[in-house]
Amino acid sequence: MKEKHLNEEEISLFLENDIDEKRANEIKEHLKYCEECKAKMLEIKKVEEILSEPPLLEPPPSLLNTIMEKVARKRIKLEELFISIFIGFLGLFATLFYLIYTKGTNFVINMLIKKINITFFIKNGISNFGELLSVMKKLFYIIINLPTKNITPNLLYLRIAEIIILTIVLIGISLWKKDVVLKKRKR
Amino acid sequence: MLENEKEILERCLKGDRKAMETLVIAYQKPIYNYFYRNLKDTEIASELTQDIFLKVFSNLQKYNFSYKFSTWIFALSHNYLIDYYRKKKSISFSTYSYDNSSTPDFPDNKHKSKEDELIEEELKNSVWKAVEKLPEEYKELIILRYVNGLKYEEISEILEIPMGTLKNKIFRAKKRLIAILKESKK
Repeated sequence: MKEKHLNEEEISLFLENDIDEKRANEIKEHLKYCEECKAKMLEIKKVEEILSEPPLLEPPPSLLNTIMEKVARKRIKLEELFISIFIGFLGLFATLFYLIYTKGTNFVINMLIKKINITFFIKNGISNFGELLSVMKKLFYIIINLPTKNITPNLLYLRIAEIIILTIVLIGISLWKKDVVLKKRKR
Repeated sequence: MLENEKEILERCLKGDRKAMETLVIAYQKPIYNYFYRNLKDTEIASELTQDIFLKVFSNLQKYNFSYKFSTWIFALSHNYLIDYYRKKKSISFSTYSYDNSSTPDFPDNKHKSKEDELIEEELKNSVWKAVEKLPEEYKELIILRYVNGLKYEEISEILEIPMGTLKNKIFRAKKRLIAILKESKK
């Protein structure tokens, strides 16, 4: 009695040698006499052959250089960022130094002694818009004329705000000017 | 693909430009062809290949050396392709340019005289055109298996699907391919 026709999946696996030996031999035998399955096998085989020899495209000759340039640019960007942050921190320390060793000395020492006042200030903060305006007014006053007397807890907040603003400005400037700063490092 | 791949990758991690170049030279063609075959656009293929290498170099510290590098880079490419499809969902890539003039990868056979050669070339053209018409998932499987010549084990790792499922899907892809070929002959 003739064996029933082979299914396509089995033929495909047979062509890829991905079938056990016993079954492979059975398939070989079947293909000897079954024209229908043989035709099916040849069809799949032909497609397999064409697929196995794909027409590969050569990448554009400039691709390698473009990739390497982008890689280098990305690394420089990271360096720029670190340098900018470093400059920002330098700015922060310079500002602190300036505040401690010039007009802010007494203020910082006083605040260190009166820690409770700091806690009180942090807990309360600025509660309304009027207070914010007055703080800003004071901040402006401090920036143009740093006071050393009558130091209040609010002043600490103003000092910190001042330092943060200065640091942000410095980081901003260094990021903005990064091309100038690192011009020599770019190839 | 590279003989001393581990050593090259370690040098890449240290920022060695020469090693990076070696790696790009070794993998740019398979990755470029992977994107080109999937998207049928040389410009986009070039852009995506560039992005993949940038990804490779910025994520190399995450690469697990116990796996094959080719598996990792193809997995990155596969995920990137999925993202690309997602972003460009409004454009149907399955209907992307099928006109006869858009096959730069096949030589022009008009001047050849041998009839059988012509038929053979025509058949090759038809097969690769049929590949373009496959659904995205099947097309990618055929590309990974035949264009990139990857083994089933590798594809299974890249796509994170079990081997049995993968074999079945590849078979279905081929079956669909043959159906498309027959349809186009009618």
